[in-house]
Amino acid sequence: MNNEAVLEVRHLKKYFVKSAGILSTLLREQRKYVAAVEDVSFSINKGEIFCVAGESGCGKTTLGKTILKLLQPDDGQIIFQGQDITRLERDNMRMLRPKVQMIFQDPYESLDPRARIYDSIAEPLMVNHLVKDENEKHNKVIQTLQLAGLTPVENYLYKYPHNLSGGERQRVGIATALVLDPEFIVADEPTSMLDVSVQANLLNLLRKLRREKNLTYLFITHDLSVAYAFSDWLAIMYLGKFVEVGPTAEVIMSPIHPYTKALISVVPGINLSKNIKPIVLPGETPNPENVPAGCRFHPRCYCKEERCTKEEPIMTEFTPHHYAACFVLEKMKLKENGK
Amino acid sequence: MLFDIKDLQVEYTVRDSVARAVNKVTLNLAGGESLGLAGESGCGKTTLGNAILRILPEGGQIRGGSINLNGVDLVKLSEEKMRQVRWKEISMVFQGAMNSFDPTMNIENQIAEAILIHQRDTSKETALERARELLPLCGINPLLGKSYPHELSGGMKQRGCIAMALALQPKLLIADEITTALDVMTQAQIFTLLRDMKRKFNLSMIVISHDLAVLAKNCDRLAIMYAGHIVEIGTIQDIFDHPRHPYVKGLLFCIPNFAGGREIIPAIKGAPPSLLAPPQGCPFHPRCPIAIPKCKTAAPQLLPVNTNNHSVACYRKDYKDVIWK
Ligand SMILES: Nc1ncnc2c1ncn2[C@@H]1O[C@H](COP(=O)(O)OP(=O)(O)O)[C@@H](O)[C@H]1O
Ligand SMILES: Nc1ncnc2c1ncn2[C@@H]1O[C@H](COP(=O)(O)OP(=O)(O)O)[C@@H](O)[C@H]1O
Ligand SMILES: [Mg+2]
Ligand SMILES: [Mg+2]
Repeated sequence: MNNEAVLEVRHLKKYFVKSAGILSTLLREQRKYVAAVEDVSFSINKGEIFCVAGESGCGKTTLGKTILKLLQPDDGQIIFQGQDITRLERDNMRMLRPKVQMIFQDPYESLDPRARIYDSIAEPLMVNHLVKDENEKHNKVIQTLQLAGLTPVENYLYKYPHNLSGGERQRVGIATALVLDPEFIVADEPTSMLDVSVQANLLNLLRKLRREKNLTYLFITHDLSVAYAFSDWLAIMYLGKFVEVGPTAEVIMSPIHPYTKALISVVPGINLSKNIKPIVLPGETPNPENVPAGCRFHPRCYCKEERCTKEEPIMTEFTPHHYAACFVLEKMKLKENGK
Repeated sequence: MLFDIKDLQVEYTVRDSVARAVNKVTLNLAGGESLGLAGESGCGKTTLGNAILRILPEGGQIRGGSINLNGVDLVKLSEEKMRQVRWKEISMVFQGAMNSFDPTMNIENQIAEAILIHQRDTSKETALERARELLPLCGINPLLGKSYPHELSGGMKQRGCIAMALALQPKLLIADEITTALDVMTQAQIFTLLRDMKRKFNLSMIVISHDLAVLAKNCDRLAIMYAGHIVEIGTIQDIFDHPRHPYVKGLLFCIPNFAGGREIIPAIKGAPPSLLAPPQGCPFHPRCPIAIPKCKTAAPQLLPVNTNNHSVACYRKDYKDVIWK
């Protein structure tokens, strides 16, 4: 691994217009905005896997799509391979498109049900004018199917998505992303709907591709055991913001933020966490339409103090590269210094 | 409550071929006990659940065996008598139910509707009253009763489904993939709710999931299905600490865990067999690294390996070496 940043995200913000009721439209109330991504900063070096984890609704998908400019960012900067792409218009994005790809959670949604597998995979090649002739196209499709583990390829080429199992369909999703030889992939919960044996095979495939093609991933999941097995860096997201980020093993083995600890404690399975008492948080990821004052996690926090309801903690480095946004850090630092 | 299933066979007839989706399944369940039922998609879990309630879709039929509830064989009951069992004795949260609410009806009305369907002599008012009692019991703020499905989160909708299934105070609840589409924190909340219900009402449960890991912390015993067969059944400790079937050993390898070496081991390759043309002998033998000639000719029976009801269907259950890596 070298230290060349493939992606740098600085103070990224993405707002959505609040779904306005008829009444407020009639009254011509001012549009209200909700922040799905609120001031997120991080960078990923070449060949690394950066994982973003958190409950559903915390903004993971919005973050992934905004980084790839599938959604237009509202503020902040996205720098891809040294180039600021935040304000790139559609025409200029075309240069970038083949290099960045997204793998979606639900392979049903991302594949055209009426297109044969061959055509689904060949289409991006055509759109981006990346092949000279039919022959080259054919070869590239075959090569990609093999890469995605869909072998023998003859069994797949002329099938439709509904003829395939969930795992096979997700491999086709991966193949459509890989066919353009991308350098950076956002994988949005790619295995969350699959059997564990299929998940293991797919994660292994993504790892192999990283090794062989030096791919860089932003990997989104809600399951920290997957993050632990798979990623180099781990960011925990809550209500649009990162609350903890660091080297994956460190975040899992020495979590700082109470939210991270809770997520770790409810990971499914047994041998892994026999001695951890589950911390089941009450309520749900709050709605970004009304973000609590102070620390945004405080209404569900099991160790909050007066201060947490008023003041928002900022991201602070505790050990090298391991950051968290919680006042508990100050106490940990004091203890550390007292030693 | 006493519940046991013996040699249950369920088949689907598709055009001229027959798929045996549940094959000689035998299991038992005590009052207040929860049994996890795990296995890859397509192995017959939902079919088993539907067969217990005798609500198999068209083409599906029970072809043999018995389902005993307190000494009564449900397979032999008339449809009329079976209606007295459904929802009142045994109920089910269906796979994907949280996404099949009627979008035009609020949640408390839908729960009331479910009560009316299964208990026809109830008045509308009583049903609605009961629905409103159920909401807080299932962790739904009563104010949310007037909400429409699209206004509720996945977790809340699933709680609504559970409320519906528990409306007539059944003794046995079958929960089919109830946490599959939910994030881990919501999963933990839903299982906390089920555990509460189990304790409060001495409810027995069959919890179905394709993900064996989610069952580990939330059931007393675990049965693993493969291609219509139960291949291993035992306590959580039996299955996780002393698995005997090569398929179960392989599945455990596939589950990422904090104690492991941060690896993902794709132990089991390939896919389960088609139930329309299953292999001869043990259904797992084509994917099994330690199969012997016998495995290819006759299917092994589910036999006890110790006295605590830990049983396995494998000729090579005493094989000790690591078989997957
Ligand atoms: N197109 C949209 N319009 C309005 N709100 C949206 C849109 N997409 C997502 N949101 C809201 O933004 C928040 C984050 O959603 P999302 O990024 O999908 O979260 P996650 O992927 O972590 O589940 C949610 O509150 C969601 O309701
Ligand atoms: N309505 C049906 N008609 C024909 N075959 C079916 C039907 N439902 C399920 N099957 C078959 O029965 C097998 C078991 O399915 P199911 O019980 O849904 O498995 P699981 O719940 O374990 O995923 C599958 O191979 C499936 O193809
Ligand atoms: Mg998402
Ligand atoms: Mg099912």
